[in-house]
Amino acid sequence: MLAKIEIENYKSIYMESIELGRVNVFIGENGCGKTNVLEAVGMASAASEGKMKNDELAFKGIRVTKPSITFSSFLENKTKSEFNIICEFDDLKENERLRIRLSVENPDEIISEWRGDYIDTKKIEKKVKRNISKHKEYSKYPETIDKIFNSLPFFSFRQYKIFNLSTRILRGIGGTSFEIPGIHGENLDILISNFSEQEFHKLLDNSHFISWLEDIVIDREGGLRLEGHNLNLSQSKLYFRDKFMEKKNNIFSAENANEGILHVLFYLALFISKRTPKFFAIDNIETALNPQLCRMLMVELIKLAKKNDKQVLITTHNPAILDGLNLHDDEVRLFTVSRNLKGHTKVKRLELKPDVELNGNRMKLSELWMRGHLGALPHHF
Amino acid sequence: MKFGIIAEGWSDVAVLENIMIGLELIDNLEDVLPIRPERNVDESDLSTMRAADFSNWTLVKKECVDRINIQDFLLDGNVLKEERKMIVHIDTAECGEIGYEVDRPIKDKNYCLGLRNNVIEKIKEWLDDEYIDDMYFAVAIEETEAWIHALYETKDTSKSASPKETFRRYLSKNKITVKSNNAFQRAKMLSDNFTKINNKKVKGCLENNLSLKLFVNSLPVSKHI
Repeated sequence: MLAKIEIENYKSIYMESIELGRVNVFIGENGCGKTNVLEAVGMASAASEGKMKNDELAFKGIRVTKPSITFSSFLENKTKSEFNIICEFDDLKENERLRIRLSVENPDEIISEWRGDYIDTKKIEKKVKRNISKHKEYSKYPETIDKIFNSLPFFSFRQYKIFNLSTRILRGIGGTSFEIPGIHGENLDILISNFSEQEFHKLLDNSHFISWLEDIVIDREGGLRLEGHNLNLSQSKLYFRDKFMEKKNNIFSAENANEGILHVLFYLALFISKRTPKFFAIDNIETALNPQLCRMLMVELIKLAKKNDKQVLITTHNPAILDGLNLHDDEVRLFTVSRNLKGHTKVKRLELKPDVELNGNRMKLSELWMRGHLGALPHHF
Repeated sequence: MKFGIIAEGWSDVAVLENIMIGLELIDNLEDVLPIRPERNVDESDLSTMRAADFSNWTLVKKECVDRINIQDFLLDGNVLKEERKMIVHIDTAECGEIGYEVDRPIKDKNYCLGLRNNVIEKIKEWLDDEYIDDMYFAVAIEETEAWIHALYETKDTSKSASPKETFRRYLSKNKITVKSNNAFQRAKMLSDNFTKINNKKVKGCLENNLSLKLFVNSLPVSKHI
């Protein structure tokens, strides 16, 4: 897992160091730099596989712009034409940190090629793999050795993407990615249709807080569309069965489903599947979700993240998300993101005093946030 | 360190913030939580409130007597690994009013100190001596405008009986204008030099107003934020 990241000179982040857990939630007012933190990790991830072209960055969910805007720009500091990111992984030694320095020849050029002083981890792994494959053992156990490779921290780090869901795309309309799943929610139906039986049952089990949901249906043959269940633009083959509706008439399409189920299902599938990245970010997880659902979803996602060895960075503006976090668990971390008086993005981990019990007369984390105790709110208006 | 502020109005909060920035007690507004003026009210409540409900010494007294929001800040909501202190601000202009009832000392060289001490004693009485170890008292004689005025003129600004009016006349006479009608923003801009209070030149303003100086000296010394 990525244990620590140091970011210098990336957009609003002048210099910041963040110690991460397994599930990391970032809160802060609009424009404080939450997404910039997610993107900085994305830049490091892209660099670690030598994929720094604009479309490759956009593919990871990074908002691509000309380099002069990508470097920090503050009134009191001269703009530097490079940024640095250092990543520490908890299962690697300190001297195996990933150091990435990225720069361009002319920051004002709209189309510039990033040049980097970074390790292409893919090349290293290929080289090591090539050496291993020469050994007799490799031919005996190639799958086992591949598995070991895929569990290396660099491997999951390279998979990193920022998911930012669009309800329209979840409904199967207007997606632009061939990825399964895409960063805006593309191809959820294909992801689920490729689930093992065990994964599918897990998905249904974990959807228990969707009160009306009886079953998830994948219309592999396209028959439901022909029967008129989906007369619109949607290409999705995802359907739901409602437990309250008449048995012979209880199926409806993703396009006709409420927004909440689509978002919830996507997140559950993302955390359950073995094919989805092990390390990723979710921007604005609360979109389309009822506050109580936010809480329940977080509880489930944290359990799944631990079980399926996923690491995630999450941003939210909904206080109810916080009520699903157990801050006494060191794997679950809450951070406030704010701009200091110079405009620099600052990230602060919120840790509870050891003797605090957030129950009984104590306020819930959501209330603490709304009442200003956690910060992460706009000031004075 | 996180500071909770109880003040008569938003303009007072603005001045206190600038002073804390200048003293390097905060470098991020996340470390300030204005408790009064109330921000935990919704638009339904706001529609039923009168103008006097927003900026008044009675509100400061109410907070100190009720101590609900003080307990909320220093105890119930104080769950994070951080130190918390509170600043209670009040003007002395109305200290003779019923319910405030603080005696004004004789107007001699000890007037400011004497009045400030009397007001602090009154606040402690309202607090029933609870939480006082976690509090700093920002007693402005007679109004906070006298503190801001101290940034502009080298004279004892605490001698004016009506600092707000005196300062308004000063600004008008010197054609100093601020492009905002918002009380908080106006005070923030007019008192911006407090953010440089560690600068020798600006520090001199403390000599122009004793109640300001006493407040500033009562605050903790910054330990590298």
